[in-house]
Amino acid sequence: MPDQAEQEALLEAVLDTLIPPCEERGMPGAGALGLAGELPRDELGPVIDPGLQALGADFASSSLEARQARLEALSGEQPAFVPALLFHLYRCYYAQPAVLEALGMPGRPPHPEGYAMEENDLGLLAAVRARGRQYRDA
Amino acid sequence: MPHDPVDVLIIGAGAAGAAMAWSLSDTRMRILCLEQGDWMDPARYPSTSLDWESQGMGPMSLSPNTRGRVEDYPINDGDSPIRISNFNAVGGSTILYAAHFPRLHPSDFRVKSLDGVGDDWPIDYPTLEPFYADNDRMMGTAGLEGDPAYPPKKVPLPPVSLGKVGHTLARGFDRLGWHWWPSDSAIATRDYEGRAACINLGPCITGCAQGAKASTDLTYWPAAVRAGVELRTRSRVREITVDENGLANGALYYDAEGNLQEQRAEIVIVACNGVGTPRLLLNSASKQFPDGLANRSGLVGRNLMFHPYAMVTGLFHEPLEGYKGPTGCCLMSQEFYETDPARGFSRGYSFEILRGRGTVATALTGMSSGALPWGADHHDAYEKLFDRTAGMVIICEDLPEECNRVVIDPELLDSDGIPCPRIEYRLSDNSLAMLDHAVARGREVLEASGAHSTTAISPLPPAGWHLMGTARMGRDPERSVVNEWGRCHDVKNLFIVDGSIFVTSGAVNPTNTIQALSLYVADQIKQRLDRLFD
Repeated sequence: MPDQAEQEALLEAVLDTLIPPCEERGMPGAGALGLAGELPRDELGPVIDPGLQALGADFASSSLEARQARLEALSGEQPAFVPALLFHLYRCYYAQPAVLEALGMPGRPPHPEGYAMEENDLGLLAAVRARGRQYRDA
Repeated sequence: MPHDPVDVLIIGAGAAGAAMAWSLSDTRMRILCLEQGDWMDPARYPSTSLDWESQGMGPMSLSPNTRGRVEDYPINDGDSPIRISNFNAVGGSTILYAAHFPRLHPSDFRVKSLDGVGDDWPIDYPTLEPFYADNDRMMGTAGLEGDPAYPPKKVPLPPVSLGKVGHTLARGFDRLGWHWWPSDSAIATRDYEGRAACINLGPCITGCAQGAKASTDLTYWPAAVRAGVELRTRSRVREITVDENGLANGALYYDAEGNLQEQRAEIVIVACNGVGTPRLLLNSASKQFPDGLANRSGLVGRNLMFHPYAMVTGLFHEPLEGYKGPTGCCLMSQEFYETDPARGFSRGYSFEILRGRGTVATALTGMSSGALPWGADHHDAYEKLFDRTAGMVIICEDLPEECNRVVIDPELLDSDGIPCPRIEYRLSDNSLAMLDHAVARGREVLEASGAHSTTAISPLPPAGWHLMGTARMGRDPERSVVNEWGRCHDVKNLFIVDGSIFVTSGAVNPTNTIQALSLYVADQIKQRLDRLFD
C-alpha cells in the first residue's frame, strides 16, 4: 500500500492522464493544477482507492501513452473508476481561471463584470414584418 | 396562541402571490402573506463564483428533490416522464426562472371553439390585456413591439441582446421564411425601477446576481411591503381551516422552529403553484370537505398540464460566444403555434433559442454523449465542442386530461411532517406527435443556420417548469374548481391565483399570464368588496 504522499502523486498522475497538459493551447494538466485536493475524496474513496492500488506506484513515472494504456486496461476491470473521477474532475478543471483563459474567456466568475455583446441587427426582421399578421382572431 | 386576525391571507410569495399582494395593498385591508421560504441574497448567487455551474447542479438546482433545502418539500415525480422544477423563497420560482415572458395568444382562450379539443376559458384575451400591460410595467418586460404573432402591445424596455447565437439562428429562420422575433423577457435591459441593467451574465436560472431579472422579491414585493403588506417568511402552511359554515377562516402553519401557529383571516388566497396548491387543498380535508377543500367537483389535482419540451442542439464550426447573454431569453419562433390540421396534431408549439453551454456543461455533456474522450485526444475534441453549440427548447402545448394529476403521496413527508405530492402523468398521443414534428423542424432550422450536426432530447425530462390546470377555472361548478374571477365554487371566501387555474396551457412560458390573472382576480375582488361572498 503506497503511503499518503505516493498516493497523492499517483492520483495527480491519473488526473494528468485524464486531462493531460497541452502546450500548444496553453491548457494545463489537471494533476499539475493541484485538483487532486479539490476532489471529494470521502465520496470517491470507495470507488477509486482499489483502482489506485491496482495501478501501483510506478504508474506516476510512466509516459503518457503508457499511463493511458494502463487506465484503459483498468477500466475493463473497474468500469466506475474513470467516470467517477471525470464527473468531479470536469467540474473542477473547467472552472479554473487558467483553463478559462486558455479557452479565450475571462478567468473570473460572470458577476460582477459581465460580458459585452454586439448590437442587435433588427434589420433581419424585414422578412418577418413583410409577412404580416399571423395570429388568429378568437 | 393565535395571531391577530387579518382581512386577507395570501399563501405563497411567488409570482402570483406577489402580484396579488401589491394590487390589494391600495385597499387599506390588513394583508398578510405566509411564505415557506426566506428572502434570498443575490450577492450569494452562483454567478458570483467560479463554480457557478456546479452550484446549479446542487444547492441551486431547479429540482427541489436535488436541492433539498430546508425550505423545500420533496415531490414524488418518479412516475412521470417530466420532473418538477420549482423554488421556495420570497419570489418563488421567479428566483430561478429564465424570465421568458410571452403572453398567451387570443386563440389560447378559445381552444375548444376553434380546434375542438381541450376547453374554452371563461375569460378572453381582451379581458386580460390591461393586466398583462400592468404586469409588463411592474416586472419591466423587454422586447420589441410589432410582433406579427400577437395583437399590438406596448413593451417597456428594448430587447435583450441576440448575440452571435441569436443572429446566427435568425438568419436560419429567415432562410426558411419562418417567423421569429426577439423574446419578450422579464429582464431589465436598461436600469429600471431601481434594478440595474442586464450585463449578460448568462446563468439566469441560478438566480440573477445583478438584479436585472424580474424576480418578484425585487419587483412587486418591495412595493407591497412599502404599502403595508406583512410578509411572514419561513411559515409553511399545513392546512387551510374552515368554520362551521364551510367558509375558510385561516390557516395552520409551522414557523421556522417547527412550532404550529394559527392565523385567522376573512379571505384566503392560495398562490402555491400548480403542484403546491392542490397539495394544500387536498391536505385541507375536513368534515365539510372530506375529499379536500374546494374539491366537490373532484377536479382538484386533476388536469395537470406541463409543457412537454424537446431540446434540439446544433454543432457549428465557428465560435458563437454562447456563454454571453441571458441563457433562456434570446429569440422565439411561433411559426408552428396555431393549429394546422395537416400536421397530424392539434394546437402547436414555440421555438425558444438558447445560448450555448458553459465550460463544465460542455465537458459533462460530451462525456455522457461519448463525444469527449479523456486522455491524449481530450483537448482536440473539447475544442470542437466548446462554444460551438446553439440550439433551442421547443415548448409544446399540453392538453388537459383528468388522468394527469397531483395526489398526496401516502408516505412522503416534508421536514414538518406534512404529506407531500405525487405526480401521475403521461404524455398524450397528441403531445408525442407534436414533439416529433417539432424536433424535425428544429433540426431543419439549425441546419439552415449552419449547424453541421444536430442532436435532440425529446421529451426533456427535467422540464417540469410550468405547472398548470390542477384547480381549473370555469363557470360550471361540476367541471371546474374556481369561477371566472378566481373564487372557489365551493368556498366563497377562498381564491386561487396561480397556474392551477389555467384551463389550457398554450405553448408559451406561463408566468406573465399567471401574474396577469392574479392582477385580474385582485381587481375583481376590489370591485366586488361589498358583495364578495354573495
